[in-house]
Amino acid sequence: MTPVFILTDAFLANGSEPWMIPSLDDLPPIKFSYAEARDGQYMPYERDEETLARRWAIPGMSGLEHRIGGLEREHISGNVSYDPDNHDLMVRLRAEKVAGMTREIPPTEVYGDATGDLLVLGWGSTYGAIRTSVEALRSEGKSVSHAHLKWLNPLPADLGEHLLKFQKVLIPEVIDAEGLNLVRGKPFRKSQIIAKVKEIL
Amino acid sequence: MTETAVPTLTRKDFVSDQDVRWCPGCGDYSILAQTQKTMPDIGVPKEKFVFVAGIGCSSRFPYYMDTFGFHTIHGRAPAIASGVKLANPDLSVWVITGDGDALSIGGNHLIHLLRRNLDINIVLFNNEIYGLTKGQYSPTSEFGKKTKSSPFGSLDRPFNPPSVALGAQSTYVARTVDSNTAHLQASLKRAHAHQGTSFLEVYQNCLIYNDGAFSHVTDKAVKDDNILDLQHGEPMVFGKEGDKGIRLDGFTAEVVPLGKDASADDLLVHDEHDRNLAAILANFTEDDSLPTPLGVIYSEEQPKYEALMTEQIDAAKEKLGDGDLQQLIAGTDTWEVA
Repeated sequence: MTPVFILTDAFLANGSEPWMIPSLDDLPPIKFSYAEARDGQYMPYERDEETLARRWAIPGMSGLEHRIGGLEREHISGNVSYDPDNHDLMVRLRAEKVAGMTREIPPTEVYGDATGDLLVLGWGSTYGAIRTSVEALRSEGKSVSHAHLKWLNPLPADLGEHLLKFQKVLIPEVIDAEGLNLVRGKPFRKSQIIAKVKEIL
Repeated sequence: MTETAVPTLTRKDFVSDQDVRWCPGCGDYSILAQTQKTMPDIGVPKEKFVFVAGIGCSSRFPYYMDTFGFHTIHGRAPAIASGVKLANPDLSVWVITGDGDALSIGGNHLIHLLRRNLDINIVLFNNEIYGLTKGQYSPTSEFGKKTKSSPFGSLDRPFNPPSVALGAQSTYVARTVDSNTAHLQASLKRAHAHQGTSFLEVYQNCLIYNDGAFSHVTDKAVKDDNILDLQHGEPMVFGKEGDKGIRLDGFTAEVVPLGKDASADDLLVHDEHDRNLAAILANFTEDDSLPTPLGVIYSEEQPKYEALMTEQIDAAKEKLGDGDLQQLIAGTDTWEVA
């Protein structure tokens, strides 16, 4: 019951590359459990101890009538609450629940050596440009590796330790920010990334 | 065969344990009370009710009903209610909204729900003001209205909610008043009975920021001369003494005194299935010489969206077999690279 944002960009819509369509049968099943009333009482904001997820109680399930909405809720009971301490607790619980998603995130894979001079870190549609650049640089003997993120919030729990194994980290992004950035509205070219890496090394 | 006992529901079953936070004297209290009184009588099990609201004073409503409830996004209750209904057409879905939520922020969502005709009941609390944000003019505030956000008078011409609904191809348009409890209860029942999207405008007094906006139809001394109580198939007679009627001159409605110049036979007879008449009646709102129509302005039977959707899916399945998600994703133009 956590809202999930899947970010994408125009390159994905306009670009093309071979992509293996996964077999749906191989995808892990999505497991969830329905709530139950206890002694005629249903507590809509009770949470799973490990994941902090609330259980499902959908319209039509007798005895589980409850209200959800934008106002702050009391922990456990789900009643509208204006209590400051409860708000503090709920803000922390929600943050903890999101942070807990790292349990589901597989370890970060580093292409190339696990340590070195430079790690090129990317996310999303820069994958192709970064990977081919790193391949080319490595064939020239450069100490460059590549890691590509699929999750931005929370970040993978092991990301920090990977970053520390490199002297420098380069993040190419089509935005106005630190790193390699161009705001031309066009995807990076391999040559642009290679040039930047050579400038840094 | 054993009979399943259907538990008898009462008003209490619909009262949640939450403190109601509207201002003392708000018209919302009456709408809440009449809803809680009416819901037990419409033959729907309690767990099948869903109240969906946007944002605003009126939109706190779901918290006070002991049913499934969603206090959702400003103006977006119709979209969320549509999803709830399509996922489970068996539910009795109610959209609770206000003049700002429905007609300003959510104007687009509202009109598309109306034309789609899902079996959802929309109850629009119209107080002609923004109450929760403390008294700015709303899309139903009258032209020239002086408020905190229009100190020299509003330059916006207001929406007339029934006209908006009719323009959006609504299949059911009605109006009632918060303080007329019997009429309000009957209006809620009738709205529920309509098969399709029902649009019920409730004139609702905001005691703090727009008190008396509807006194012409609530003040005992004058209301009978200002209300046209619509009854299907009946001539349009009104007035304290029942001494006035509505006559049509071309497309223009006019008030005539009953007596030597006009009898009940000369009067307009209400036909709630006549869309043209409904448009004329809706326009009464903008004409101070005419009474305010209350009751069912328009109703027609049209297929419900969810029924059409189910039919379409069933027909497609019959023709093409059950869907295959894997095949759908793969499409016809994919191949495996060796």
